[in-house]
Amino acid sequence: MQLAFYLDTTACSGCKACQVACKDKHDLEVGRLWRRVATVEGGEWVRQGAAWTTSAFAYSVSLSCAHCEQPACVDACPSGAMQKREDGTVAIAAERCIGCRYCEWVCPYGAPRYDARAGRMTKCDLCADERQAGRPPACVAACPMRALEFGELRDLEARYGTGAKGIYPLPDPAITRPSIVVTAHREARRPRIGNREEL
Amino acid sequence: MSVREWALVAFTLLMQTSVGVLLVVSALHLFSVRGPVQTPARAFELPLLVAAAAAALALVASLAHLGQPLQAWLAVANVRSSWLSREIAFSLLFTAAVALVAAAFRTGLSPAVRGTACLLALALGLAALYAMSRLYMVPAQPAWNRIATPLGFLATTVVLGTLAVVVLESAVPFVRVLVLVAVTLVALQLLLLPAELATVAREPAAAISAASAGHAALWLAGARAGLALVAAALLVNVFRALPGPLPASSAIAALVLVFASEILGRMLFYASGVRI
Repeated sequence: MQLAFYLDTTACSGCKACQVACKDKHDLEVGRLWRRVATVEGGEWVRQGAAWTTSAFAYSVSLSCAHCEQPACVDACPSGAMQKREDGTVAIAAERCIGCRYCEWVCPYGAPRYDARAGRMTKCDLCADERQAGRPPACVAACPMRALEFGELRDLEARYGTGAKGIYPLPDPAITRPSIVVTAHREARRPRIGNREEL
Repeated sequence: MSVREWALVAFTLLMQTSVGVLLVVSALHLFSVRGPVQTPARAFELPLLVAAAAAALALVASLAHLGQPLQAWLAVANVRSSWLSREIAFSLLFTAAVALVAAAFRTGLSPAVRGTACLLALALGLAALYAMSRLYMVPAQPAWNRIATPLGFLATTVVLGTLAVVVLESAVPFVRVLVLVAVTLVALQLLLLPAELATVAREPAAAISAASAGHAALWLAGARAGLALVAAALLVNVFRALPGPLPASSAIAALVLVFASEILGRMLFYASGVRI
């Protein structure tokens, strides 16, 4: 079994309700984000004869831990605290984490976040307690655009396809085989980014 | 820089210095046993003691980058797949081994036994150095995931080890060769610094980070180059004075400057670590 997130970047409005719901649910302090929303903007004004048209675009990508099929953090963790569970989620056995922060370096998605007060790493576990209670993860439940879903990876791929490659700003999926299914915005594969410094 | 990064700078540089000293001592001991130039075992005692102390200090410094230093023993729990685990495991074994080698040179053991102990400890040190390089070479960190990482670490190891041995014990043979090796490596590092910066700057994420940091990386690189340049000039001066008496003050100043330059280089290395 491999649980996964689905994201529809054609529907996501970048409202960050998912990000806030995650922070609220897990009581994360300022700066420690298990889910982040990046809005990519670009385009320009183009002269066509006597008229000017615009190719301006914007789309948002909401990203948390990708619960990869080949998680770099699990292999790299020196203490064995980072573990791949039976349901496919990647979670931290907090009592084994020594706070070396190596997982922070090796994860292409920047998913593991350091809790300075506890001296240990923390991350998204796809709201294990909510799922246990038969509810969706907080981010999925909070999305007003229904742009986020979660479920079995193969089911999501069957419904939405497997084309997550080359979507900016996601890293190359070949590195860790992330368990995320994405419907790509029309500009997401070759964006002419205007706000790179914000991403 | 945070305490965590200082701890990593201290750990990597001290461990590399220790491996470098043992590398030079092993080579000189081998020449001493097999070659025409005899060196009394006493000449290696101080460098080996310093190597053992540097390795032990490196391990202590490494604790400062952990959120849970009291659970540090868990760092070797995943040698099966983690290069960080392997680095710590080899570093621990190397530290114990280099301490035993230092003790062996203070006893009446035969040169052959001392030489074997040197080579075994050196193998552990080089394994630690290799693991130390590999743990940074991950796809998520393009600026580190290059052959320049192990080569840079190796250059640091040799140049610091060579200079430390020359300064600690000028009675060892081939001092002129050792100084020549050191000055050549310092010059090479200087020449390759602009190419290194250019390569890092080509990474979009790193370039943005450098820009937002107010070009701090350029200041670091400039200071590193300045220190290395003065050190190289001092080493040329030392080289020209040999084979006469070693100008100790110049050699010590060169070692201090090279070490300071390596600290800046390592800070630059960590500053260039920006995720894809």
